[in-house]
Amino acid sequence: MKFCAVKQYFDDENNNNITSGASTTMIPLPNVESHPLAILITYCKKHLKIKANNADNKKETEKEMEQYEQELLKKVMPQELTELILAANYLNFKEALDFFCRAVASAIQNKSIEFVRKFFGLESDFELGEEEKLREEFAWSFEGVDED
Amino acid sequence: MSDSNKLIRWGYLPDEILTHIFTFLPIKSIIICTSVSKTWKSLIQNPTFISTHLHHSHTKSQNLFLLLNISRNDREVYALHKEDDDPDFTEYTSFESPFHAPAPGFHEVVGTCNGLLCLSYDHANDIFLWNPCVRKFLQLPYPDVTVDTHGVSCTSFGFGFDPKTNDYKVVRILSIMGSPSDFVKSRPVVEVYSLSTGEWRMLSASASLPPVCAKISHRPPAFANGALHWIAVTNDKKRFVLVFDLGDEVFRQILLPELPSYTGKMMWTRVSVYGNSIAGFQRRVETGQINIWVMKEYGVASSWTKFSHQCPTLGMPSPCPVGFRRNGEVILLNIGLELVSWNPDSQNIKNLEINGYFDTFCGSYVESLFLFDKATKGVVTY
Repeated sequence: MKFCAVKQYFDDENNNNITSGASTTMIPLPNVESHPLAILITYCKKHLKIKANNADNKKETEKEMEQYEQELLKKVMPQELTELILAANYLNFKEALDFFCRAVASAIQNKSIEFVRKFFGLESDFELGEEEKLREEFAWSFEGVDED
Repeated sequence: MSDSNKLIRWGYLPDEILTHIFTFLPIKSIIICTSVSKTWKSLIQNPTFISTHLHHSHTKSQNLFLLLNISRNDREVYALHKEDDDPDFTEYTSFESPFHAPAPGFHEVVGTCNGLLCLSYDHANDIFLWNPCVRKFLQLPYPDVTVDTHGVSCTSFGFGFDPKTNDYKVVRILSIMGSPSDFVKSRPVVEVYSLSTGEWRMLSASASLPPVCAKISHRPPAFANGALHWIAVTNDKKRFVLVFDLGDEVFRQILLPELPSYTGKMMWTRVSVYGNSIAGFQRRVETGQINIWVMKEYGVASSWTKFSHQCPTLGMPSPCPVGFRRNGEVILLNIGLELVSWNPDSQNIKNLEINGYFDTFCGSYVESLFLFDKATKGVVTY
């Protein structure tokens, strides 16, 4: 059970004698929209399937999983990533959380400050001159940054 | 869902998720992120995040490297090589020394730990802690005991991390000599520098001093199991491993294997880290023979085991062992100051096509952000 938050729900419910109604039980997930939840369920099922197919071969599992993840990223908008991250975090689904965080990191890696701000919808909150000082102090880290 | 909602959502990413994203970024990008906003800056330049990042570095095996200080175009360069199975030993990145040394090899490497390098130039009492990944260094205050205050001495250094106090320490041991040809007349003086206090302390308790009449190797010690290990020799020419526990700040001894007299004059040169334990190198310059001894069970003197294969002689005089790679191969400095890698199992020797120094250092390295938080006084950016 990868969705640890849901597992917790079942564990709690067991104390109230719920029997095989598992397939029809409704579990409230107020903090997750249906769209990201659908993606996470698909991701989870795929992950478990790939793992089962490549039972002992860890490298094959990793390779297939990587291929699936690349395909998935092509269909997901960068702005959707934040919903997916929040959903995976709420559901306590570690593999998906790591995957989507890595995806965001790849998107902003080696990019300029302006690009990163635009991506996250952030504005500078530095005082006058503070940002300039920082850019000067760490000038070397801006070398080779991708063009916007 | 409207666009303005999406905008708000980003802003609601909890701090622990933001920092989780940061741990997946290369260090240069993390540094760029400190200029994105005040919040991000304070999240990153935070000792908690820096520790988390280090822990993440340790678990990501591709972030573990071998560090070598080498010579390139007459300049002193520190090169990092990935420790995975790269048959070509390709370089991942390299750093130039920022210390304006008048000649390469001027500064000696005392040790490396968690991304920090400790360098010394003893004659001027210069000691630095340097993190090349974030381009920051700190010059230590001049120690209290010097040639001027205590007379001619032989100095040994050590650097490591004490997990009990979460502190980095530099150890300086001075053997005060009567005359240049004498061994030590009185007990050595020991000083310890703590990064957390920014000061040197002289150790005075008896257990905190090395045994009397011990001359300690000048070579950088091996840092293993929270302790520093040097080869030392007593006045009656008996060699042993001198151990200094960074946590308890006490000295111990580990006996070296007894050698039958017919083995001839093999000299113990240095101690190296070997997995979770230590290894000792022996060398005999005239014949070119090198012996490698591994302490299979750390701390148990009877567990010293000699490598069954002898290191090939590679021409005369013998190469100088520098240290171990994580895959068990030994880095050797050949007579022409070239570095080679020797595999003790396959007996294969690979010329790494890298020029070293007489004092080439090699050690496991991990990228980190230490010294990047503003808290440490006197840290210089270059």
